[in-house]
Amino acid sequence: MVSTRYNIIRLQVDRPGQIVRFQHKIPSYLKRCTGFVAKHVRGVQTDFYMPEIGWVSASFNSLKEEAIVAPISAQPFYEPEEPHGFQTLDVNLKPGQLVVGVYVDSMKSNFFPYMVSLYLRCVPTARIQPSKEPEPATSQARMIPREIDSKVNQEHCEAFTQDDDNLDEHDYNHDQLCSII
Amino acid sequence: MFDHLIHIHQQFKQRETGIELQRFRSVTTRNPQKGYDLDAYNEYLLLTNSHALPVGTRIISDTNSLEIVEGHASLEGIEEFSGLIRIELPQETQQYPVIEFIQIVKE
Repeated sequence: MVSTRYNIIRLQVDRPGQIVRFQHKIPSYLKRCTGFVAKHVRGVQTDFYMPEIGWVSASFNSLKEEAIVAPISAQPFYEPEEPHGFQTLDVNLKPGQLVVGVYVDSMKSNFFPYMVSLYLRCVPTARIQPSKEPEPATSQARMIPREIDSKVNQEHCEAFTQDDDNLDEHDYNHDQLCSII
Repeated sequence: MFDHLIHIHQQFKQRETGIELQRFRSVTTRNPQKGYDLDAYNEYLLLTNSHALPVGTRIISDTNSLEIVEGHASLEGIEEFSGLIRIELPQETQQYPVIEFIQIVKE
C-alpha cells in the first residue's frame, strides 16, 4: 500500500499586489508528487464567488521542472460554489531539492490580509517506467547450422541455452526453438 | 566581481538544461506607456539592470515575479523570467528606462 504524504506551504499576503516568494524542501524519502491544490484558507470574507484573488506558480527539483501555475479563488464560506479537489501532478522528485515559487496577489479592491495554502500530495514511490517492447523476433534470431547431427545439435542447444541465460529478458528470443532443427 | 555569464551558465548546468542561444534583448519604455508585454515561452529572460528601474516597477511572469524596491539598487543578482511577461512601470513615474535582459533559448 502506498502511503501518501501532504506537504503544506502557507503564504501570508499583507498588502494589495504583494509578491510572496517561497521555497520548500520536500522530505527526501518522497519520490513523486501526484497532485496539488492551491486555495485561500483565511482572511477574505466574501458573499460571492471570486474566481481569482491571485495566482501561484511553482517549480520542482530546484527550478528544473516548472509544474504549477494556478489561480486562487475565494468563495463564500457557507456556500462554496466549487469543491477544492486535487489537480493532477506527475513530478518525479530528486532527493533534497527545492520547490520554488511565487504568489502574486491580484485583488483590486476591498483588500484584507489573507492566507493561501498550497498542498502538495506526494508518495514515497517513483513512477514505474513503462518497459520496452520486445524486439521483433527476426532481429534477434541466431542461425544454427542445419547439417549438424542430433548429438551435436543437442550439445549446441545446451550451449545456446546457457548463452541465453546471460541475456536480459528483453533480448531473449522466445521464438528460437532448437528442437525443430 | 560577480560575473553574470558565469552565473547563468552554472545555473543552467545545474538544471541540466542546454543553451541553444544566448543574446541580449532590451525593451525601450516610452512616455506615456506604462505596461509592456513580452513572450518568452520555452526561453528565459534574465534581467540585468534592475538598478536602473524606477522603484515600484513590477515584472510579472509565469515563473517568477518581481517588484522593484529601494534596496534593488545595491543588488548584483539577476532575476529570471519565463513564459508570458508583463512589465508595469509605476503610474507616477517620470523615468522611462531601457530594460535589458539576457535572453536564453533552451535546447
